[in-house]
Amino acid sequence: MIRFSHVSKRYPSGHDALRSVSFHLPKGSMSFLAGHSGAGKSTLLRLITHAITPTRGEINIDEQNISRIKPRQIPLHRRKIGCVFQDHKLLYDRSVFDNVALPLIVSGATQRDTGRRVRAALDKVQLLDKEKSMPITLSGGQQQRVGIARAVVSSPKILLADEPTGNLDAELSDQIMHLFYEFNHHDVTVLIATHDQRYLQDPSTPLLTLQEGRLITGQAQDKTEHDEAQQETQPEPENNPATTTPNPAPADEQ
Amino acid sequence: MKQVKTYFRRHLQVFFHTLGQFSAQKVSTALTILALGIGLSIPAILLTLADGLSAFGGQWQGKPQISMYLKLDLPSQQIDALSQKISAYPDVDEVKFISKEQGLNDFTQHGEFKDIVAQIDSNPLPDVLVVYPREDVGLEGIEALTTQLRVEQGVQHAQYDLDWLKRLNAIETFIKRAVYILSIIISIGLVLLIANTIRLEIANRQSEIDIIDQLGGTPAFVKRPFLYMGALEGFFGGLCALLIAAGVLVLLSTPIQKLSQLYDIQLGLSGLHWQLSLLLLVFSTLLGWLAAQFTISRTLSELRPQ
Repeated sequence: MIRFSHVSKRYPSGHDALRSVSFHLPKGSMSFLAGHSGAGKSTLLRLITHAITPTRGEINIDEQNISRIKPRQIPLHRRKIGCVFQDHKLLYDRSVFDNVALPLIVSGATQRDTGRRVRAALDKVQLLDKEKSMPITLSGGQQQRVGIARAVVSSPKILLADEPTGNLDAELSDQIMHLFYEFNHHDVTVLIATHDQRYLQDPSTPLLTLQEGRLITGQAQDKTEHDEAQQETQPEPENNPATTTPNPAPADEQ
Repeated sequence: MKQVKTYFRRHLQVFFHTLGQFSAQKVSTALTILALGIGLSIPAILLTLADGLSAFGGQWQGKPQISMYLKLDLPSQQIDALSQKISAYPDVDEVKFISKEQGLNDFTQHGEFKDIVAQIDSNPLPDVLVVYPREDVGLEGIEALTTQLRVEQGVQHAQYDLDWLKRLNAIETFIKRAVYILSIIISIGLVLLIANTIRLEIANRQSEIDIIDQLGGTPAFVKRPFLYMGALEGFFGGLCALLIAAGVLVLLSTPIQKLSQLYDIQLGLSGLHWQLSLLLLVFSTLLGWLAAQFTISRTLSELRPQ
């Protein structure tokens, strides 16, 4: 579903955000993307949505080479992808309903369809009673759930999340993360950028780790924390749904 | 069919949403529309006046006439003889006699001259024979006829109004061109004015534009609200211009009526012509749309992935 082949991104400032990154996330997989801030996580996600173009290499999304996508096809490509952001990126001059309905309005869904799907999405994130509220009156966790409802309302094939739990406490984070696992069960390919160690330690979820623009792959970044986690979670050696193809990593963390 | 319906529904939604935004920002919208209205009313008023001037010229053109001012002491039999002689000219259609008393009387009827006439003891006006050439006589024919009439016995002076007509035509051409040039300059100013309001609106709604772009909104979808805003601003600006122009023309109507009485012709300046009004509305709407298109396209090109 998402395949990067030797993708590099150099910004006009000369900064190399990604260096020859290659990996493949199959359809219906769920993966985490880890790395320090500035390691290239956001760059990688923005390359998938084609908000930016790679300097070198090839990106295939849903069997389409988006490095050579025509400008007219970009909107259709983006409608395949739902995005969740740390700062929610909601429109604060519109109701919760209107925010969630936005992807459907953009893609030209009928009014009846829109109402039905918005309510289904809000129901899934348990905010059905807030559809008429303005986002500003909601808590941070609720706003994030509105953002998630908006990301999934048009049933995208891919769900990307950039630090979705960044501003939330542990309990709210777990709720949010639980939602992502649920969507993944509905055959959505999910990629979550996070630095929250509690989730990165989950061995059942494959991990892409970026360091200074290079992909190094591991189940956790920190060995000691990883060991502690193993004691707590008792992971079984499960078959990963995702296979990652790392390029020669300069630093092997394992 | 369903898609067509949805498409129109989206357009209607944007239309009413834009109207809603106007009413939410009453003061700034009103100021913009007023500025547009004032700007656009100037060409509308000038064009109407220029049209009135053409109508004025047209009426004269339809009835060219040569005025023969007769010598002051010419006896009436001689005048009759002269009149009959000239009537027999092949190029002459009709000869009308205006006596000096009648001429004075005409002057007295116009308020402005009443006092002056009252102060004069004797009538200074000559008798006049007004000669109307046949309609198929051209400009040169009239000139030749005038030369011929000048040398008639008892004629002090003969003058045709074509010089005046030529001048009027020249003035008309000049005024029309000036109005067109002025209209273009004003239009450019208005495009910049609308472009500026659109630019501010884009800045206010930058996050919305980014989010819609992210969600897969087509450029047409992103542009639509701004195009509606520009077009509606233009339309209301045009409407405002019509009101201003109509008001100004009402204020001008009294002096214009007097003027047309003085020249004894119909100036036909009752108000704005409906065709001009319609043209103004279409033009101002188009102007707003163009300004918005120009501005938002620049913003969209910045969104292109790099």
